[in-house]
Parts: sequence; structure tokens; C-alpha cells
Amino acid sequence: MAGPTAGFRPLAFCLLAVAARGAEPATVQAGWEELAQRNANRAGELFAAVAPNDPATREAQLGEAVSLLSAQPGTSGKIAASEQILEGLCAAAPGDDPGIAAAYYLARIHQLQDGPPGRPAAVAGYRALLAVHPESFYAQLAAPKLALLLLFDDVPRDEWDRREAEIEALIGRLATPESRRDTRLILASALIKLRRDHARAYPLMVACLESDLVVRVPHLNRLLLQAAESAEALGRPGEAAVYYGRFLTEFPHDSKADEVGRRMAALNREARP
Amino acid sequence: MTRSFGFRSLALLVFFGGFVVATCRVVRQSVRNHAQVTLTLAHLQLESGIREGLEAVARDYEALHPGIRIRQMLIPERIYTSWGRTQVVGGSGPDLVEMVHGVGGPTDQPLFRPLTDDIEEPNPYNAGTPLAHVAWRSTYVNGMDEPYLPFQFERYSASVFATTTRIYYNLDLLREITGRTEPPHTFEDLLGLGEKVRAFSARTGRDIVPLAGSRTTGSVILDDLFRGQTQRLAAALNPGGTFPVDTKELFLGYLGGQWTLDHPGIRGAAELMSLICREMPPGFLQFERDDALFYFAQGRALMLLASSQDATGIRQQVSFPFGVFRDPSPQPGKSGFGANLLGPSADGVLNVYGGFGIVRSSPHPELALDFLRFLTSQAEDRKFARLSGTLPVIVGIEPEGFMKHFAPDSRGYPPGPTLWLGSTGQLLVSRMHLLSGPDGSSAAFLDSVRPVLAGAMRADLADGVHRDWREVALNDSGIEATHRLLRGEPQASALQRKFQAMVEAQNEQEASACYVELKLRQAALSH
Repeated sequence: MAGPTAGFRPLAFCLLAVAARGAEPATVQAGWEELAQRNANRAGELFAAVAPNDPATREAQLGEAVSLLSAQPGTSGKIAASEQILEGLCAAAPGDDPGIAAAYYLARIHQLQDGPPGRPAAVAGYRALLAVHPESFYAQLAAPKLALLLLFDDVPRDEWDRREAEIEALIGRLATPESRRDTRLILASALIKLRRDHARAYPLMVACLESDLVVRVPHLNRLLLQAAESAEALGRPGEAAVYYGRFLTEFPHDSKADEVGRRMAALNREARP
Repeated sequence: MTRSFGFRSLALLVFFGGFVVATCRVVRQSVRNHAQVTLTLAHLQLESGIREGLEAVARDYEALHPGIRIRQMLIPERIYTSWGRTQVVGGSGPDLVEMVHGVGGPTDQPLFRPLTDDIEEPNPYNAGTPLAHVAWRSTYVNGMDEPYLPFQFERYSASVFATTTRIYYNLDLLREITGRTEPPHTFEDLLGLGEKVRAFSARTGRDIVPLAGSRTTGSVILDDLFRGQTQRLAAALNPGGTFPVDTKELFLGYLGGQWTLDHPGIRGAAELMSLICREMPPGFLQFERDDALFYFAQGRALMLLASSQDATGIRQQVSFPFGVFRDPSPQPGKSGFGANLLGPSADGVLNVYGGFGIVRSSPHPELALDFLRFLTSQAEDRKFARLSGTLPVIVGIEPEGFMKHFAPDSRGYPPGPTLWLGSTGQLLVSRMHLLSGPDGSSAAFLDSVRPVLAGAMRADLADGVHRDWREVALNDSGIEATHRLLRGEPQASALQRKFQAMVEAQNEQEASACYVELKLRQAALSH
């Protein structure tokens, strides 16, 4: 039974195994790992190579579309190709995860690639996402984008007030604390920079500071000073001193620490009976 | 029989061949493991002391890790950008590269290994010190905060030293001119000293200028004076409820008609700049660092504007005793220049230098990271600062000896916004001769700037917005990828923190770009 070639079978299997290891099949996971490392071109290749019968095909298509958005060199052809894939994902199954993601990235293309003329379409896309899939991850990403497009716009006063009310109402409906944080802070920034309205901006900043939601160090540095200045503007020296004090605790070596210390001392003198 | 014998022979040959190949591989790998690994770091810090300081730290590391060798590559400043970018893009570069002068800028960053997660962990080489359990980031005096990259969430480099700009003075020459060795303490004293130098020069026929400066250091003193004079103006603008106001807000305020070149702070700044330019040799803004040092070393300048990291080299090159003082600016007061100030000007944000990044193509990225941690540990940064004559960047280390004169002075009000950036900065430099020439005056300078300033500011702001939108678009893919990876590892706290920081930074950056675009549109409509 054992022919003269039987002894070679194990060797052949070994060689096949080695060859298979050398040409590992492209996986969606590998694509995301490359993309997370900002290797968009390599990520795009991996996503494109995922077999059509793979259960993760739709996710791979999403990955390919997102990779095209940051592939180098960036060209309008790549953006158009991305848009086409995203539209296909949306059309095939708008309610599954890749479909919802595709709707978000189509709105992003309108906002970021089409310039100001594309912004109404982006606003419509974000609003639709928040209305149809309010609990989804992408609706949480869309909320602050909607806020900044609506608020940092040159519109009549009553229209701005209407938009501001829309964003304020939206905050209460958001599913994650991080999305509430960013939407609140964008609203606070707009209220201060465009309306000098410390009274309405201050509680929004306080809500974020109290819940320790600000992750980025430079952001926290700025926000503590903004909160302190708003508290001062509102005639609340005790609260201003608290934020200046927290600034000194968090950033004792900051170049602004000397001036902050002086301000805090003055506020404490003022607050003393 | 013959056929069977042939197959057996072939089988034996294949088996034996495989055995020989496998043995060779094992031996080669073993030899490689015991051979020296060389780690290269490239930089442009040719100043005396820095090379020696890095060499000493490298020898310490080698002693701790036998089999590893650290090699420095010193690249001249004038070719650094082209050399560095070619090496990094080509993948043939050193393991660690100083990220400066455009090397490691936004377009190169994908070619560097991010340190974002690493800086949140303690530096193991700080074990046994008060920093043992402190995140690497927080062991830095400035918390690794880069004020010029406010929205960057990835960290790619760790710096080795900090820098300040000071005025060096020739003690012998000062005594000869004034009969004293005390340097000027106020701006008025400095101008008075300039008068004495000119009188001495005329009397003795010796060609001596009061102060030598270069393109780099000259603009530092001009900027210091400008930023002091704009303190009150910047505080009044302050639309974001924070301080000091950044350059963007200063530009938007000008374009929005909130201030003009006739503002007392701006007139004061131009006048101060005119006064200080008269103390320096004509055309100083074209000078390189070495040209200014030559004036000083030859005794043709009483004072020299130079950086802290030049101290060791200056000590080696001059034959006379010298001292150092911080460039004085007017004091706050009720009238004159003082009225534009809210407080004495602090040195401002610590300027860190010598930031090394790990090139992604390095064959030893983890080793490079380990060396970077070693280099920036408290003990080694102290040693490096002492040997190189530079300012330390790690908390708990005080500058020693002569370097104490260079310690950053954080007392006072943080400096206001600068005008010395981008097209606006280039415009000001191009008109600087009008401040100090034979018919120069602050009014002539401001009049020449007036018709073109708004255009330059608008171009700078539009460039900034364009850059913001490009980065925001590129970051979308990173956010999506990190979100997908998190799904597989929901408990990965470092990945979670990174994801949160990315989203937070992107929203800040988008809001800032939208705000600037809106204000630019409104300013265009109002004109």
C-alpha cells in the first residue's frame, strides 16, 4: 500500500503549511490594525483582498471606503470611489452596522470634501442619523458635528436661537457621556465666543468638569481657565477660585501658573468676610 | 530497484539539505543574538556640550545593556530638513531622529512610531525616585504639552532639553566702557548702556556695537517686546474666556475692526522694537548664529543675544569673562510703555528641544523606546543637563552652576499673542529695516505694513483652516479603526483612552475651524 512516494507526503504537507503561512489571507482585523497605525494604503489593500464570501465582507467594504478617505496621495477619484462604496452599503442594508456607518461617512464627505456648499447635505445626514438610529455609535459621533455646523454659522438671531434650542434638546437624548461632553462644550464655546453669554455657557462647562470627562490635557488646561473666567464674569468669586485652584493642582509648572496664583489669591481676599 | 534507490537517494538528499539549511539558520540566529545591536540617533545639535552629554548617556546605557551600541549622527542644520526627510521617507534612516525643522511634521508622522500610549505609563528608569509611579508624560516640566500643536492627540517624540534666550555680556568690556560690571536691569538702563557704547566707540575709534543678535535670537527679543506691549489689548479681545489670547484671535480682532495699528499697545510695540533695533548691527536679521557670535567673540559687540544651549560653546570660544541676564522689558505703570502691560512679562511656555522620535522602519523600535526612556529619566536628564550645559526638562531637576542664569522665569503675566508667524511674520521681517535705518521710525514701519497686513493675516488664517480640515478628514479613518479594534478588546483601557482623546481633539479642531471660517466670512462682509 505504501508506495515509493508515501514518505514525501509529510514533507509536502510541511511545505504547504509553510507556504500557507507565508501568504496569510487578508483579514478585516489586519486592515483595521493598519488603519489605526495610519497606513491607509496598506489597509485599503487588505480590505479589498477580503474574500467576497467572507462573513465580514460588508465590514471590509466599509474599511476600504474609509481607507480611501485618507489614502495618499489624496485625489478626488479616491473620494468618489469611497462615496460609491458607501452608497452601495447604505442601499443594500441601511439598518445594519456597516450601513449606519456608511450613512455617517457620506455626511462626513459632504462636510469635509465638498466644502461649504456641502454643509446643508451634511447637516441633513447627521439629523437623519440622530432621528433614525439615535442609540447608535455613529449618532453619538454625529451630534457634536451637527452642533458645530449649526452654531458656527452666520444666520439671523432668531434662527440661531432656534438652532441653539435644537442642540440643547439634543444633549439630553444622547446615549454616551462623551458625546454629551463634546456637544455641551461646542455649545458653550459658541455661547461665549459668539454671544458672550457666560450665564448659559458656565453650567455646560461645569457639567463636564464635575464629571471628569475631559480626557485631553491641553483641553482641560483651557477649560479650567474658561470656567474660572466665566465664574468671575458671573460674580461668583468663590467658584472661580476653586477652578483656579484646580488649575494649579493639575498644572503646577504651567507658564500661566504665576498669574493664576495671583488671581486666586485676589479672589480669596475678596471672598473673605 | 534502481527507481526505488533513486527516490531514496533523493529523499535522503532533501532531508539532509533541509537539515543543513535549518542548522545554518539556527547558528546564524544565535550569532546574531550575541552580536552587537547598533542603535543610531540623528540630530542637528552641533552645539558644544550636547554631543558630549548624549555620548555620556549612551555609554551609561551600553554599560547597563551589554551588546547594544549607541551611535550619534550629527547633521548640519542647513541640510537637516532634506536629509532627514529623505532618510525617514526612504526607510533607510536611523532609529531615532530629532523631530525638528520640518522632519517629523504632519505629513511625516505616519512614518514615526506613536508614543501616545507609552507616555501614559511610568518611565521604568525612574524606579526608586519620587517619579517612580508618575506617568512619563507628567515627568516633564511642561507635561509634554505642545502649544503649537493644540489638537494633536498622538505624541511622537520625547524631548531632552529646554531652551531660553538671554543676553550675554563681556565683563571686561563693560568695565572698560562704564567702570562697572553690573548689567542693565531695566529697559531704560539697556538703552542708556547703548548710548555709552556709542560714545565710547566714537571716543576710542573702536568699532563696537552694543548688542549682536541673529535671525533667530533677534526675532526673539523683538517678539518679547511685542508680546509684552499687547498684553492689555489681548486681554480686552479675549472672546474665548481664557488667557493669554492666541494669535488667531489677535488676527480675527484686527480683521473684525476691533483694533488697528494705532492702538497704543501696537504703537508702543513698534516704538520699542525700533529702539532695540538701533542697538544692534544693521541687517542683523540676516545674520546666522555664528555671525553674531563672531561679533561678540572678537570684542566688536558688548552684548550678545543667544540661546541657553550656546553657553558651553561660547565659554570655549571667548577669552574674556562674561555674564548673562534676561532681556529687560518695560515695567507695568500708569503711562508710557508700562500702561500697555498687565504685569511683568513671564518667559512663557517652556521651549523644549531635542525631541527624538522613533522611525517606524527602525529594526529595533522597542530598543529605541527603551533608550528614549533611559535618556529622559530623571537621573540621566540631570547628567545630560550638567554635561551639555543645557536646561533640564524633567521635574525635580534644577539647573546647576552657570546654567542657573538661564532658568525659565515664569514670574509675571504670560506673554500675549505673537505676530511673528506665517506670512504675517514674513511681512514684518521684510519691513524691519524701516524701524532702524537712517530715516527709520516706528511710524514709517507701521505705515508700510498698514496696507498689506490684513491680507497677510487673512492668508495665514485661511491656511490654518485649510490645514485643520485636512487633518480632521485624515483623522476620521483613525477614529473608525480604533473604534473597530476596541470592539475586539473592550477592556483595553489605553485604547479606550486613545479613542476618547481622538474624538475629543477632532471635535475641538472642527469647532475651531468653523469658528475661524465664520469670523473670516463676517470680516469680509463688513469690509
